[in-house]
Amino acid sequence: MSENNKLENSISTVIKTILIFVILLTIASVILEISFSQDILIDSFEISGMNLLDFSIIFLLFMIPVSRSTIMIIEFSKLDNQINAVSELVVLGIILGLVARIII
Amino acid sequence: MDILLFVYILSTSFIAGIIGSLLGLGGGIILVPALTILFDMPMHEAIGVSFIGVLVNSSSSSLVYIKNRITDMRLSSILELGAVTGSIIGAYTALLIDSNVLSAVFGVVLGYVAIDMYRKLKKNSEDNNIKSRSDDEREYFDESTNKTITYSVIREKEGTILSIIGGIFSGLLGLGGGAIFVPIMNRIMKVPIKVAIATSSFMIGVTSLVGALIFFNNGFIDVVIASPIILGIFFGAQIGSRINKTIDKQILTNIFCLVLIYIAVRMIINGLEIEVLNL
Repeated sequence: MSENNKLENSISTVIKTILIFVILLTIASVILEISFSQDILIDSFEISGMNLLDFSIIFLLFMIPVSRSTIMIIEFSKLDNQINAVSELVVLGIILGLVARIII
Repeated sequence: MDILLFVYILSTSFIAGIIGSLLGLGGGIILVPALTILFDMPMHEAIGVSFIGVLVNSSSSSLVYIKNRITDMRLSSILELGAVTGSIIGAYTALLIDSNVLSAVFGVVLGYVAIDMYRKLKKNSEDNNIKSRSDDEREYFDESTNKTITYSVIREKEGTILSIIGGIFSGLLGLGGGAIFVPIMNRIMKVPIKVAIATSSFMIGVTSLVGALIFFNNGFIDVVIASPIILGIFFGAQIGSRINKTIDKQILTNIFCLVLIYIAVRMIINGLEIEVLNL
C-alpha cells in the first residue's frame, strides 16, 4: 500500500467511524426528546448549556476535521512533506485556539 | 421541540441534502433561505445551524470522494490556510452585520451561484488543462472515461490568497464556499473539475468548523434545531449520491437555477425590507 493510500484510508476510517457515532447519538437524542421531554439522567449533566447527549453530538462532529487534520500532519511529516505538514499544523492551531476561546 | 416543527425541519434538511448532493452544492445554500423564509428563524441563527449541516454534508460526501481517490489532500492542506483565514474574517464580520444586510448579501451570492451553474451547463468546463507543467505530477482515475488523468497544480500562491475570498463567504453566510473554491482550483490552478469538487468538499469541513466554533461561542447555534438538520442532511446526501446517475441533471439544474433565482430575489427583498405581496 502506498503512503498516499494509507493517508486516505486512515482519514476515511476516522470520518466514517465518527459520523456513525454522530448519527446514532442524534437518533438517540431525538428519541429521548420525543419520548421523555425531561430525562433526568441526561439533563442532570450539563456542559456549555447543553445536556450530555447534545454536547457529545456537537463534540464528535467538531472532532471530524480536527482528527483528519491531525492524521494529515502525522502522515505528511512521515512523507517528509514539510510544507503540507506545517500548513495543516497552522490550521489545527487556529481551530484549537478557537476551541480554547470557548472553554476559557 | 414541537414534533411538527421537527418533522418540517427534518424534511427541509433532507431535501437540502438530496439537492446538495445531486448538484455538488453544500446544504447551506438551501438551508439558510429555508430556515429564514419558511421558519422565520433569525439570519444569524440560521447561519449558525447551517454550519453544522455543511459540516455533516462535507464529511459524508468526502467519504465517497476519498474512496474514489479523487481528493487532492496536498492541495487541500495548502488552500485551507487561506480558506480558514477567510472564514474567521467572514464569521466575525457576520456577527457585526445586521440580519437584513446579511440577507441581501446572501441573495446576491445566491444569484451569482445560479447564474454560474447555468453557465457551466451551457459551456462544459470539463478538464480544460491536464497537461503537465512541472515535475510535480499528480493523477486520479476517471471512472466515466476509464482513464488515468495526469495533472499538475499551478499558481499555488495565487490560489491560496484567492481562497481567502471563498473562506470569507463561507464564514459570512454559513455556506460551504464551494461555489468559489471550485472555480479557483479549476480555472486558476488548472485542476481537473472532478478533483476540484472533491478537494473543495474536503476543505469545506474545516471552514465550516471554524464558522461553527465562532457562532457557537456567541450563542448562535441551537443544538435542538441542529439534530433534525444533522439527520436530514446526512440521509438526504446518502439518497442523493445513490440516485445521482438515474436523474437527468440538465433538467434538474435548469429547474433549480430558477428556484435559486426566486429565492435570491426573496432574500434581497427581505434584506431591503421591501413590502411585497406574499408570493
